[in-house]
Amino acid sequence: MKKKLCLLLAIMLLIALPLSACGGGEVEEPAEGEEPAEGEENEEPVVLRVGIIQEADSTSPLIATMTAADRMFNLMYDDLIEYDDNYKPVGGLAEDWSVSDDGLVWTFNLKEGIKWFDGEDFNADDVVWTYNTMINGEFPQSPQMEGVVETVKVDEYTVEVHTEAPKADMEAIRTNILPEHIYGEKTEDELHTFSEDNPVGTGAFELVEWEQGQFLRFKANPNYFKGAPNIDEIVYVLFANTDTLFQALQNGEVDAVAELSYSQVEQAEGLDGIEVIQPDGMNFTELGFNCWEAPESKGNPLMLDHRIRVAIDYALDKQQIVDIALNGYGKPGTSLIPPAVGDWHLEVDEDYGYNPEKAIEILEDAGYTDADGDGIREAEDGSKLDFRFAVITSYGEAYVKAAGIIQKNLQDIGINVTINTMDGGAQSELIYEQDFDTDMYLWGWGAELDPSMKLSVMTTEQVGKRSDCFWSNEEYDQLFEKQINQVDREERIETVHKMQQIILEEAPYSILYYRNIVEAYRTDKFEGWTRVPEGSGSAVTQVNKSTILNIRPK
Amino acid sequence: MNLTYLSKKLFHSLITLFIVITINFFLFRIMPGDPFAMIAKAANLSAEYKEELSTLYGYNQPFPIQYVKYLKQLVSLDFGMSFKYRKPVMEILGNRLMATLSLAFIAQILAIGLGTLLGTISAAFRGKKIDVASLGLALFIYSIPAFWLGIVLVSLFSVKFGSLPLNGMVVAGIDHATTWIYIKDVARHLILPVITLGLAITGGYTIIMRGSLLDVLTEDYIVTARAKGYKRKDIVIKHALPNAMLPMVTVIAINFGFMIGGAIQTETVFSWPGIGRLVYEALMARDYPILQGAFLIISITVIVANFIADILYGYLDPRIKYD
Repeated sequence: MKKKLCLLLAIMLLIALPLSACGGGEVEEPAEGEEPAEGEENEEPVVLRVGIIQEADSTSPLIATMTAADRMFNLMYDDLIEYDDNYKPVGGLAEDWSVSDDGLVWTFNLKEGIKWFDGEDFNADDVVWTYNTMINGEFPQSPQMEGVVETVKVDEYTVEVHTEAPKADMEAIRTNILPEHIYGEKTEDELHTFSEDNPVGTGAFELVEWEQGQFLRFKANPNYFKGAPNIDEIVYVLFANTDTLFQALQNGEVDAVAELSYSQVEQAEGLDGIEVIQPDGMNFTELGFNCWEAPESKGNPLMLDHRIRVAIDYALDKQQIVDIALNGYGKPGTSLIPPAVGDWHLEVDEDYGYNPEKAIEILEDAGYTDADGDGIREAEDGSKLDFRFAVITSYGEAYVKAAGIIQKNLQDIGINVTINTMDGGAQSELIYEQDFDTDMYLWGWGAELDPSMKLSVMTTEQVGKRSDCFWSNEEYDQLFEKQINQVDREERIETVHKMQQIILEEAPYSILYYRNIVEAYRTDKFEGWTRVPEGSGSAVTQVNKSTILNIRPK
Repeated sequence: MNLTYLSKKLFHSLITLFIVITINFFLFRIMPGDPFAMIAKAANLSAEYKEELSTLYGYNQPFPIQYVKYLKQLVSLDFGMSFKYRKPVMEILGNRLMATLSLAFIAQILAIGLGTLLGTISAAFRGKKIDVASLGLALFIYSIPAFWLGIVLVSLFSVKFGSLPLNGMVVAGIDHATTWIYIKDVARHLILPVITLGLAITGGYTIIMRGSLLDVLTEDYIVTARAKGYKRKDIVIKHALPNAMLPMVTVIAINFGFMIGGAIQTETVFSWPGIGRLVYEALMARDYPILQGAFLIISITVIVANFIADILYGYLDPRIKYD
């Protein structure tokens, strides 16, 4: 009996060991990793290790929707136009470009001599295929192609892009140019499910190994057209929790982290050999309101009165929210486009800000008084200012803490809110599938360098689609159509500012804060971390390739 | 043990499996939260794109049609395509499953060994100091949450002493020249997670082993054996222990099924690329195909584990007759 048990245990052990060897997928037959031959010395490859928390979803730009995937594509692919360190457009795959006098035809002259990873030549066919696929199909990049009619090959290294009206954000298009010789034959259905294990791109690094849930490994492309990188490999190591990630940074197992959690920042700043930077956040988090005017809306009709929303905006102590929900790592919110984006952001007057007296004044003037003395104001018809507040708890603590402060702030001006906690999927369903069955909610957006995408969220056309507040304003819609065609930057800035002013006056959102994403990197083995934009931007995760091309061993 | 009994048991297992598969299907379709709306919102996408995805996966078809398709796919071991990764679920689950299995198997071996040892010592010397110590230790370990234990171990061995790895299954991004080097790397990374997960279950095993053995030691035939003059050690190990193992087999079988999906705490602390973490992320993203696939695997594991336990009873306890 005992012998049988022992035998069973021994068998399990024997099975388990080779199983754990199979686990983790294929290990490449090491052509390069072999023991060096007698007498030969193989140089150790220079490997930059970056710790990340979020893994990408797909290697195909036509499929991936997570921002974590953008990191990958920045390494593997290029665009026609890219950003320099001051966010000015410079040529990527395009040598130069020009636009016709009527603004409807853009001509791009492509750089010659660029090769894909597999040796094929890059040329106009690739650009034409990539752009037309996104114009004619439904892909994550298709909204960027709004207003573009088609892309035409003029010759081997020249393309024309035709638009129906002058397109102000043409230079901001970032789609990643894909190889026509690999994707060209596929039908649209196939494109929605096809992804390469080792994608062929034109970029600085190639993806050679992706162990899901563990790491992504990139090797440098020595033939990169902007010059070979100064390191051999980049490895993104996936961590399941921020504590071991921080620890790995401290003992040198990773050279940089994409994001520190707020509780670690102070400790990190006190460490020698670690540099902590706090780029301005290209994002905003809002308290959103149910502005849906349709009869089927399940929202409280009082929320449709913009005076209540504006009063709420003035009643919120946003600095306190930043201090408590973000441990101080952020800026109180004002207008829709974050300050980090640059001139597009609307600077507000000095008298905008936390002002509960003004909030009360607005409510009193609008006729909302507390007639029965229970602390909650009523409208003239008796209905109470009592609202439901959906709060997502699965994104972390910030929303929950902010919600608590918001509830208290509103209580002080006579508005009662009931908090309903849920996860992101449930809130999505509540708003889009259940006739917007809530009155207020918290959500956030990442911001792009061109304001069109964020501005479009508030248009009538996006109600039920990209819009989560379902607000509709004719003047705003008209201004949106205007700015999309204003090629003159100064004029466009003015229009964009007017649009943000409307949002402040109607308050479909109350922008709570722009949160900082704190990055950290070691200074012992590598140098060349470049902040984009200069001086105030991020170095680890950025919109161009400055760091990955500048980074070099010390 | 005869063939009729075996086939009857097998048949019951299959019915259980079928019911689980059906529940699996409906469970994910009544959950709140449209997965495609979430994907679309995450990336500023258009409503048309959301429709496109919905059609691609056949999600706007009526339930009965989806159900039949689901069953047909299962027969050919096709768990469908993940919403998030847009790759076959089997591919994604396969690697993660291997990682979880190696962790769970070895942790179980550790727990069974340690639990049986401690429980036996406790029961054999009941009331004495060593019993109190052993039981106390077991209770202490039993009440420790796995993640706390994991964090403590990491801060001791990975941080303070720096002798064991911080995270993952292998050192990220290096080439392993031979399979043997790879196995060594994985084994090194397995040490702390196995100790964490193993200790988390040891407590329960110890207490059950002790209770069960105490029960057996009060039986008449044990008194007879003592009267016959057998040595104490022989009585405990050769006569009492085999009979006391029965409840343990039950618990081990049940535990094994839960371990496959439930090691998420350990997996999160050690960034172990297992199924627990995958399921949690899939849940947040409403990635139904992965969830269906993972739940199915977990269910199969539980059903198989119980099936094996049933068979083992026959060998362990000759009193049980099967007809």
